[in-house]
Amino acid sequence: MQIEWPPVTFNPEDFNPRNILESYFDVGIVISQWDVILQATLVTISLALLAEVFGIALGLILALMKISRSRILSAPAQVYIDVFRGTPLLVQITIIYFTPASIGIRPESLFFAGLVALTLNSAAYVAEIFRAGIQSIDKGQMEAGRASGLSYAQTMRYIIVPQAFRRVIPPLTNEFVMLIKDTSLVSVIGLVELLRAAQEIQSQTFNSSALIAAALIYLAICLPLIYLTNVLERRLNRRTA
Amino acid sequence: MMTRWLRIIFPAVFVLAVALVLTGCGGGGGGKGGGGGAEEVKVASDIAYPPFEFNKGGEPTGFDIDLMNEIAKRANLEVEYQNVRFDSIIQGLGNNLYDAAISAMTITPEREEQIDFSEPYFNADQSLLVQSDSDIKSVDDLGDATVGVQIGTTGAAQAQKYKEQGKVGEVRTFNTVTDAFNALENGQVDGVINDFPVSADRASQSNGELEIVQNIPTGEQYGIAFPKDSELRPRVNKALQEIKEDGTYEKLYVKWFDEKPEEIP
Repeated sequence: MQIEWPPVTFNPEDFNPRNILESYFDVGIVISQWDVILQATLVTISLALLAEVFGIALGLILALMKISRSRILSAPAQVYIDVFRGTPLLVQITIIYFTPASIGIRPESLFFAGLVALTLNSAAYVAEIFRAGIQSIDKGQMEAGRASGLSYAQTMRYIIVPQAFRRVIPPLTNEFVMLIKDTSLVSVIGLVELLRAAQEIQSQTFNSSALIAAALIYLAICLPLIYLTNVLERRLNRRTA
Repeated sequence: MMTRWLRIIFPAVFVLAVALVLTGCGGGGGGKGGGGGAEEVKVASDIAYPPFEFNKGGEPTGFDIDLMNEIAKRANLEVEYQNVRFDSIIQGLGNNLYDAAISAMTITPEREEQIDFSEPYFNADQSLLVQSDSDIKSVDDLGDATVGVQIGTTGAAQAQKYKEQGKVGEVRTFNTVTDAFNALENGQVDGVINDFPVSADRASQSNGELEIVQNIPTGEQYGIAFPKDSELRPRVNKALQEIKEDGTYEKLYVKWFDEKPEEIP
């Protein structure tokens, strides 16, 4: 393994503030391509929203399977979660898009292929979040439910999971923020989402301003969510404290 | 009990990590080594573009690599190749991240505003690659089709031009040309517009699955790229001129393309 030494060299003679402004903050370029950027932002947002919704649905099912006492349910769930959390999302996206042709399935839409990959990946992480949330509910709740005559499934549905839902909202919002940034990986199969749009503008204009604009847009999407998480956490602590 | 171990392990790992970085573990790359006064230069290339540059047995090889090595011999240079994404090369040169770049890069006026090129070293054309059983026989048959290209290449620009002329339905960009070729093989794009020699190489390796249906003569030429006002450029140009004149160029061309060059650029 080779590490360049020294890792950084100082070249004060290269310092050029005007060049920095021109290559990274050229507002004219960004404005002239505004429609492309906006369209791509919509792709990113819809990809993230849909993947999160489907991911939560699948993740909840997986979590319940994993904590089930039946091996037929818990084993596959465990394997699924391990595989999708243990491999890079980029690899998952590439495999899901490029492999199916040889087994006779062809993804006709880049968006769909990306959505599938993001959903499957997100479900694994969400499953762990739900599992932790469910298991953090006092065992006494399950005992009380069973003692009152409810079945395991009924107790889960009416008593445990609703309580767990409140607890998992902060980590879920966290996971959503990561998902929004992960949508940029779908660019590798050619989908024009925010990052790819910025890269194409960069390669056509030899100027990085679009990338800075994209970064700011990601920030504008993620920051409100992060603050939302903080507000939610404070609200929940008030309730349970 | 466990916390006592953790309190030892965490600082130990941290110290180890710092030590590794500081001692440049494993070969101290950027030092002032190099034998006999040869000047070390960093040359960038998107080393996934056969037959111009590709990895074989872990080492870069190809027409561009051989040519650059020849130039280095004559100009007394020691070349260190850096594998980079093609569309990051121009900006990398602008930021002096490397001293030069050889990557089957076409000389264009837009690029010349950002960087300097050497004298041309290859005459190339674009081409349209499709599946062998496709109905598409030329660019005019593309109609609503989807064309795959590599981002930042003249192929991408050509496809974009066709799109504006209404000849192509959609242009899809990929990070590497291999991704575009894979998409073509899987039927996810209908054609790939890319440099002729590279598409020809891929076609010949595809067992008859892919074929070039049209040569798009653009008269484009490749050049070695340098940051503006590089003092390396004149030396490289001189070596390049020698190579063209003393027969080495022809030898290299025959080695990689199995035929004599129609004309030496």
